[in-house]
Amino acid sequence: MKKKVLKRALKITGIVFLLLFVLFPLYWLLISSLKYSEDIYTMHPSLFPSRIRLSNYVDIWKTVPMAKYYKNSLIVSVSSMILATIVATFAGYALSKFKFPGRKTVGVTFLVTQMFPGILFLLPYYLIFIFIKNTLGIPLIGTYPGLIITYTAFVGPFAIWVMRGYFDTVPSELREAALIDGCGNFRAFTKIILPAAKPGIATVAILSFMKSWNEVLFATVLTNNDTRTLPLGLYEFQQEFMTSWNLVMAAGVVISIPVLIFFIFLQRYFVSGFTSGAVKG
Amino acid sequence: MAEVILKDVVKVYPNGFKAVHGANLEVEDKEFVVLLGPSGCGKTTTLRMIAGLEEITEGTVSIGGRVVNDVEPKDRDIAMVFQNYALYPHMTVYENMAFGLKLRKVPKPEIDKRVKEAANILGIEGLLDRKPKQLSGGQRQRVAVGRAIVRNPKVFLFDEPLSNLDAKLRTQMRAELKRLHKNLQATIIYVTHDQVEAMTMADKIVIMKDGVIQQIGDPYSVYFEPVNKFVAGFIGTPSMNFIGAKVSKEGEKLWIHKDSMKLLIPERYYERLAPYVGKEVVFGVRPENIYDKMFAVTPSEEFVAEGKVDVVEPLGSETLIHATIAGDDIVAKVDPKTRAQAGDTIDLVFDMNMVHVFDKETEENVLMGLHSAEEEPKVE
Repeated sequence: MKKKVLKRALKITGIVFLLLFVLFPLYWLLISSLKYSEDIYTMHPSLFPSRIRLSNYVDIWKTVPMAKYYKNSLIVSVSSMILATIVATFAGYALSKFKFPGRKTVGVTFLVTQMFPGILFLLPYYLIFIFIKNTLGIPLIGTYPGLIITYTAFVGPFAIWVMRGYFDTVPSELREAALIDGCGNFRAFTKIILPAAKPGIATVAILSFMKSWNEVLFATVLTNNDTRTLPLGLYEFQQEFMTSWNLVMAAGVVISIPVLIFFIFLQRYFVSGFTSGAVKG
Repeated sequence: MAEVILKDVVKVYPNGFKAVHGANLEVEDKEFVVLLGPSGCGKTTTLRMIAGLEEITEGTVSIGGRVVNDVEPKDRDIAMVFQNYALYPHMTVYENMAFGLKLRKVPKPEIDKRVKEAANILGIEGLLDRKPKQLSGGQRQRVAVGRAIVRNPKVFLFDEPLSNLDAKLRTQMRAELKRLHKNLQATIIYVTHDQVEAMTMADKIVIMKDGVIQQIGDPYSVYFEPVNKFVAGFIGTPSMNFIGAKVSKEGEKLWIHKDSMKLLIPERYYERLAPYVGKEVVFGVRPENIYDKMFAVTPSEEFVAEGKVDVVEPLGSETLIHATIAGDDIVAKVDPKTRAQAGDTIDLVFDMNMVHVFDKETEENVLMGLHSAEEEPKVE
């Protein structure tokens, strides 16, 4: 009995400790975004600010063209999310449920691409884009399509891998039952398999959105003044002699909101066991 | 008419594995046929070829007189119940059952009528608004059957539909499926590895092993006239006892002989066993054809062998005795009043009119056709 209580206490302590680790930075972000600059540059920063400055949230749009960056980020992230999710859904389904020559090789190749650090691809990408512009006349550097293609290609293999894993958990019998019930291959996919795979699709959508939303490295190279994305915008709050940390924090909060909204919308699909009941279990 | 005919059907998987070797089978209209065999015997593959879920490497499958080798599953006019039910998780019970009809553009009132009728037959009227995950195993099973019967197909295919249910529910569903078959007057092809299911439900049992059909026959004939040792051992619980023995001849009489065990062979078997005199055979006898001598009606010494009792299992209506006779382990199903106890020596009487003899090499039943079911009850 005593042992049980002790075990429980340890467990709760562990959870609290971990939560602190995760939540404290977020809390710090939030209160700093409400502080006056002087209160940040102080010897003893307080956990509970005595005064708050809401106008930080107004100033960020004036100091830096945040609205424009916001639009850019949304366009790029949403587009690459949609593209990557569509590609991953179809490719993952094919890799999971159909037998064709080279199926294993393709799957492993996707995985292998994830083993290289992204920066390795930066220069080749840049050169390829220049090459395309020189030969075909299609400008990609500094444009939305350039960034969208890059992000889709980046998140694609991982997304396919996740989707394939998810489709593996959707029993083949569901498809077969649909085929016998009167569906063709495509209709069985759209009517039966896709709804059953919603949690997987939601996961992939969020992951690919976040990946492009937060990406900095490629954005620094592949964007210009017109197509700059939000994470780069954060840098612009840093000036030569001083950084307005309160504004940086406020911008940080504003940037986090879409991801938060996304999670709230899609979290119900994360509930495990969605397909339970389809088959024995 | 919805007869299903398989002609020299062969299935070879891309990896070269030959799952079915030239299966020939005729399923008549309104017949309940069970494909029975241990796992990996090709029975499910055969069913999936009939369903159109598996390509047919060679041979033809025809349903209702039409060769369906190249016909899509949806156009074969079949319905299938899967082992794991395969209910659509995002649809309610009603939608699950109506799905196939909707795709076939059946008018809504008709769909409604048919779904309610089927729900009524299966006793799931109260569950129509539920999602599959809110159902118990038995209820899911009923929904899966309901999804098949609303379609009113030519042929029903069942792939081990009861194997995920607990024993009690299985017995109950077995009877229900049999009743359903009678009411629907449907052609049913049913796959199972459970010989009890096969015996209780089938009009015709098809026993398979390693992709080869061993025997096709009604439950009585496969039980009393197994073509070979495999079928004999597979059908019946506890399974048939096999004793490696010799056929010996003394004067005019033939005996089954092994060490201390010596049993007189009935005269009507002499002709068949003549070529085996002096040779090793496999002697087969079902547990219920071995009696405790104390309760045997006419115990003749010529049919008695002495056994050493290992384990006694009282089941109430009968008692199973595990014993050793001449070095071989056997099981006898004897009168529950038996006084045998572990460690005892017991006299066991063999009903020699019901025994089987198998060729040691080919494992074929040497006495095939000699156990014609005069005394057995007629099949319904």
